[in-house]
Amino acid sequence: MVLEARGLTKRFGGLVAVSDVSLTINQGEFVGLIGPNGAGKTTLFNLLTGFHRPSAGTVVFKGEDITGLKTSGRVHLGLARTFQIVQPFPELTVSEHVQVGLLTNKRKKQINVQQEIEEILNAVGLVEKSNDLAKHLSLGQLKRLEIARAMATGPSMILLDEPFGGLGQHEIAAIQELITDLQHKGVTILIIEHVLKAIMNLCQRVIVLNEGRILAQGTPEEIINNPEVVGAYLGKTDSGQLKKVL
Amino acid sequence: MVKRNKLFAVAMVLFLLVGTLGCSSQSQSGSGDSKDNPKQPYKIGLLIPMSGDAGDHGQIMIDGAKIAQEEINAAGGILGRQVELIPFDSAANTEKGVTGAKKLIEQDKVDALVGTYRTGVALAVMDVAADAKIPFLISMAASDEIRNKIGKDNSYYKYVFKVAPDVADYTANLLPFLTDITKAKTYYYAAENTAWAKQLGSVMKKQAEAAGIKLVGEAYVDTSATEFTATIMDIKKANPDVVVCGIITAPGVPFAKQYYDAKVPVPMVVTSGVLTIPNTIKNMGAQSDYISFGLFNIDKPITDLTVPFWEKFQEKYGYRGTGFNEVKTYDSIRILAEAINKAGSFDKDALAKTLETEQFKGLAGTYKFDETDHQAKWGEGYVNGVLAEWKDGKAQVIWPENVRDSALIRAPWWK
Amino acid sequence: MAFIQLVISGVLQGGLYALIALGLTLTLGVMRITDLSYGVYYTLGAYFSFFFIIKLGFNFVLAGILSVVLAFLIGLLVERLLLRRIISDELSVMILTFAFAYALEEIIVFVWGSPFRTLPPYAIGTLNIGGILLEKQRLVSFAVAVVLIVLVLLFLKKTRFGKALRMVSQQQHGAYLVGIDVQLIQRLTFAVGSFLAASAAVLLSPIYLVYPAMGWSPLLKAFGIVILGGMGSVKGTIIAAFALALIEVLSSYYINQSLSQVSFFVVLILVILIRPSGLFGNREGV
Ligand SMILES: Nc1ncnc2c1ncn2[C@@H]1O[C@H](COP(=O)(O)OP(=O)(O)O)[C@@H](O)[C@H]1O
Ligand SMILES: [Mg+2]
Repeated sequence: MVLEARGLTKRFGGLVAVSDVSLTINQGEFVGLIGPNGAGKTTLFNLLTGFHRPSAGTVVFKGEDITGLKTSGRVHLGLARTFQIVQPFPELTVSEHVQVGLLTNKRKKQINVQQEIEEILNAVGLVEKSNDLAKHLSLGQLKRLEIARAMATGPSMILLDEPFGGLGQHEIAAIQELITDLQHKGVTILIIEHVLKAIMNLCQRVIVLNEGRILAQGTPEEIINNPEVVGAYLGKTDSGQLKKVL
Repeated sequence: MVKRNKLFAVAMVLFLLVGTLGCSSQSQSGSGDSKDNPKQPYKIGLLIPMSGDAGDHGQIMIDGAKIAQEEINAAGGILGRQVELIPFDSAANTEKGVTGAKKLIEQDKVDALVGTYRTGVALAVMDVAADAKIPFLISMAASDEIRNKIGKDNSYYKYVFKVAPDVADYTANLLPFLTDITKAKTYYYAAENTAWAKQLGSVMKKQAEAAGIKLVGEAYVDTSATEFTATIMDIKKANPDVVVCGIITAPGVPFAKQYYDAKVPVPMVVTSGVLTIPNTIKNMGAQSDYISFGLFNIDKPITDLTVPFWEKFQEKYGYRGTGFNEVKTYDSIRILAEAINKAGSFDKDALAKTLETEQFKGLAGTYKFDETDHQAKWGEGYVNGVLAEWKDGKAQVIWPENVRDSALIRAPWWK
Repeated sequence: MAFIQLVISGVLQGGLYALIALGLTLTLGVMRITDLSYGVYYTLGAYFSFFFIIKLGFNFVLAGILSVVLAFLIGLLVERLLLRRIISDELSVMILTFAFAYALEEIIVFVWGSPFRTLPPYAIGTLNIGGILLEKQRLVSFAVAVVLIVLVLLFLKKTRFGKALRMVSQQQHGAYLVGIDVQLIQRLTFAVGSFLAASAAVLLSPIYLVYPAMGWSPLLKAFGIVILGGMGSVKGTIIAAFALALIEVLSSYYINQSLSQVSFFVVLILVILIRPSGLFGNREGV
């Protein structure tokens, strides 16, 4: 078990965005987090990575209680993430993004920085762009850059927030390949996706969030046949239609 | 970006609001008792700023007032009644001034009011005093709005008199520097962009032209200006015989320093403000040398009261007077006492009549009030100022001749 | 000739404007707050050096160093105790920093009184180079200001802290994701801003007056410069600072002396109308 959340709750004024969520993720696992818009998925990520302080509950990472730890501290422990809306440094080049990520990398004493940058850029397919400023990249490239920067920090677990959002079929395939590679390297992955289809074949387990609560979890197969999930998405139990949407 | 600019705009509005928070209020009538009982002290309410942006001045005024009080009481009081001073902090704020005047009149039952530093406060308190029929001697507020207001209805403002100098007196005080000392034919007016400095500028121009002296250039710099190359180059280009400086707030110091460093070959005289204050000059070193300036009073035998007062003040309080705040407060209280003594009764109408017709001695000369607008007259034989020049951090009196320390000390680079 | 003299005076003034505005632009970029108390550190710097030079008799170098170090430490404290709690609410930040500036002004009046103070110049006299006058005091202050600005620029380029600062300024979330302690960088940047404001005051107080409300005018000018330069752009800020000084001195000689401040704001408004993000502002356009 690499990550564990116990009773996580987040209130924004009267709104309970995340309500008493407990979950565990095992080493090397590939887990999907789905749910309708506004279900609290991004908020849950913010709680796990320290962007928000939980109203209640604890987060344990690699056996250490990190509930009070700053985001930077969590990154140093090996917990990386990407944002649903990309957050690049507009005035830095692609390779500089990887470089600054490497500054936090635990293994930085043993690694050859230049070689590492090349390896990562190769993996995300941005080698030709390595000297371009981030502000000149396309959305698909930025999404990959976001993952490259996260990889550079040397994470043992990555949280990906809708990495396919807004992308075309071709770009989606490229990123799917990239995160499969990551998993093969032993990185634990928790991925938010609005559309289950895109991660059906990747995930070993899927967690469904609805109105801040965990509605169901299980294999992708179990999830798309779960009438409660269907209800949450469509307001009616018609798994035939649901399969199309998901 | 847009959001940020909006926030900045909000910030600007906040600044403006704070800058214009001083609002005025209409006054209501109060009631005043006349208490002619000789056992009772004669109470004088002092409306003076002890906090706010003019807060420094209040204590100096009280210190001057106390000397007048002691002297009058030692000489038997006002027709046998001892003088009692009741200060009120008006914070140089119109609203507080009005509240203070009412409190002094209604609760403390004062017999007369003295004070106000700001014209706005004076204009408001005048009405309170007139309604309550309480004598009010305006000691410091200078604008000619005050005497115009009295002049328009002097039966209503029967008991209001202006001991303070008028705007025209500020410039009349400088005029001998141009006519007598430097025999100037032309002058340049370097001032700050404020209503007061502009008012001074236009009065100065009239007085100078009447004396055959021409204005050859003027500059109104911003009150936040810190760099004066343009002003100094413009002065050099205009090549006047004298520079009259009306920069009386913070930019006065950087201006004077730059003026000194640029060795402008023209003598400069300053009307009032920062460059006339010993504390400001103290650390300026040589850069304050050769600046002449007008003062309303100094420790010279202007009248036989003057030198003893300055000595007493220094001894009692351990600091030097400013020549204005303490002097005008002292003179106001003395005038009040002398007028009642002369009238021989506490009757207010007798007091008003005496104030209108008689003459009174003060530190700054002889006070004679104009019969119509109640402004103390300025000039030879009346109230008069002095001119001094900074040299080695000391004020050397250079005018009038009968009390001066030395003639004008000329800078080596003057033409 | 007149023109050369004016331009030189403008440039000397511009260096000091740049120093004042630099701190504000760093704070603005890194913390994303509208700090209306920035002028306080300018005032404090002047009073500290007045205190050390006049009251304690220290020489001006020692006094200057002590003053700016004190301002730095106060900046750290203010960030930690005051700003940290409310940093995400821009309106609260504005109200609080505004109130803080006023409160501090009152404290200064309480501690040092409200009279004007002056400091002796540490370089007296004027150089006359072919009719062009250069005041030594302004030259020295300008030179020190330029050295400080260059040091800050090198620091931003070369050091790890400088790089982290630039990243926080470019993209705060991204900075979190690469493991930068954003709050620490913000705190240090705020303190560096306080340090820069105080150093400008140390350099200018031998030329100007020292008094409790002295910080407001530099605050307004710094905001004008920062907006003209494009929020948070260091290069834009420095260029805008020199532009402000030159506009002031040239417009007051060639147009009208009372227009020196107005003309800058006219230029500022025109630039904003044409380029809402300022001369070099593009960061938020991405
Ligand atoms: N910082 C915030 N302040 C207030 N409400 C928020 C904040 N962040 C998210 N929310 C609210 O919390 C709920 C969950 O949002 P989010 O976690 O972004 O949903 P999801 O990522 O599943 O679409 C939404 O109703 C959203 O409006
Ligand atoms: Mg989301």
